[in-house]
Amino acid sequence: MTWTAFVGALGRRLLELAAFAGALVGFVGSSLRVSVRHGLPVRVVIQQVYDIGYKSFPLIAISSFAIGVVMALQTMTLLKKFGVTQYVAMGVGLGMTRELGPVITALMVAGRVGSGISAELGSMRVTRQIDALRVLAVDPERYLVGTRIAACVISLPLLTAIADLLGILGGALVATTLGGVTPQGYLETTLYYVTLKDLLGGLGKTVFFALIISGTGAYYGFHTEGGTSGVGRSTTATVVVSSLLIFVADVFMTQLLVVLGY
Amino acid sequence: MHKSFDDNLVLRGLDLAVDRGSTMVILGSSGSGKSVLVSMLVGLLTPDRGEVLVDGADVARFETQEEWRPIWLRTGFLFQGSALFDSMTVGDNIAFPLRQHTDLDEAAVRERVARVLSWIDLEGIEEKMPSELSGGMQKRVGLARTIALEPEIVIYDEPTTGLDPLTSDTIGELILRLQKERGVTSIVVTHDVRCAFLVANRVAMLDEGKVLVEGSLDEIKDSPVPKLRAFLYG
Repeated sequence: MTWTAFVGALGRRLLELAAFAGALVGFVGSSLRVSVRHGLPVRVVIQQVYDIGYKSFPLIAISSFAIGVVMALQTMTLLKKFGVTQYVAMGVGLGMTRELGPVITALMVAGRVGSGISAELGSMRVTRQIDALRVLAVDPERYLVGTRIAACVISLPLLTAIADLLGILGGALVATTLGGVTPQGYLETTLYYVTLKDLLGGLGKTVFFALIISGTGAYYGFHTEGGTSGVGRSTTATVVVSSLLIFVADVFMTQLLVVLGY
Repeated sequence: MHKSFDDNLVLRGLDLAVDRGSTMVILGSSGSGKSVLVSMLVGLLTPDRGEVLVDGADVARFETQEEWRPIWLRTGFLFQGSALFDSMTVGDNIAFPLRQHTDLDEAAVRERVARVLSWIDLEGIEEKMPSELSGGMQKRVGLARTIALEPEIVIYDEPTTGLDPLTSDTIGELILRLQKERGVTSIVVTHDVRCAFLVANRVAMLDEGKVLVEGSLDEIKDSPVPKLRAFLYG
């Protein structure tokens, strides 16, 4: 592939992603509008919070704890050279709350939940269960999409807060066992350097990540065509596109938060 | 009505009326536009041109779900594959429209579900999942969900496709009972001649996107139209 062909192909992909983002905003906006106007079935939202949030807990807990451990191991090697291993708490704390906690949790949830939403709604599309909802005078955009968006927006910040905490605990385990840092010292350094602004900035991002994950999953599920193989394609597309959109959105939101002083 | 998908002209000026309280069977070979026709009656598709009149209201002009809502609440639609919600039990499937659109308390909902299941001769299967049922049972449960709100109009999209002759007859008898006992207006789309002869008051045969012939069951049985005779008698 020549250089110009590569740039052309990359440009087309970016334009496709931008066009999808536009369609996604319209789809999510329409679902939210109808959900706000007619209200959401609370029982279904609670069930979805259980499926999306509670059932994701083990995955998020293990991965965030492991990331905290790895971050501490990596930074400690450097910090030991300067004899300031106590600052490992700062690195892990800020890294988890500002960036890794929100992004890793979002990517994990995109893989587990976004694909699940897409597969479930895609199967409902090809077996005409979505049409059945419509002729039973139940708006699928409210009943299926609105409820999943709401559940994701509720669950993702909570999962991220847990991920932040467990990541910091993972870092503490390494720092106290291998770095000679006392538990109290680790806690004090964390509380000194990690502010409420850092935490809230990171959690704020997750609301948008939740919209991206649930919206992308629901959009691809809703527009599934081509039977069961179509369901597979929708599921794959959901994970790829939502992951890309999470990274792109993170770039813009991080810059915005920096400008706003977070 | 006219309807096309890209270059494929499915309906080309189709014109058909259904009398209140009667059963109209729409016959036609695969791809003749039968399912497209009934999908337009409930807003799942929109005609390119033409009118769809329900009690004088042109539903083809409806643009919002709010406009469709009264029509949907009066109309039941039995899908070809039943379209049961596979994440819900049989009981929850049938209770779904009741919980969404009535103020019945849970005891009354359960009582109504049991009554509808008894009506289709499938008592006591409330806790089963749709995947545990045979195709014929799924179709009957789909019918139970369709009639739970006691609609005035019921549309059946290929109600006997994929079923053995005996099970098909059971479905046909339920359609017949529904018309006789509750006076519902029925539109049955099928290519099953045996089912058509069992339930029809009137029959219309579609061909090339139009009504080829329409008449009472007796008129249709004696019709000299070659394509119809070939369809009915092979």
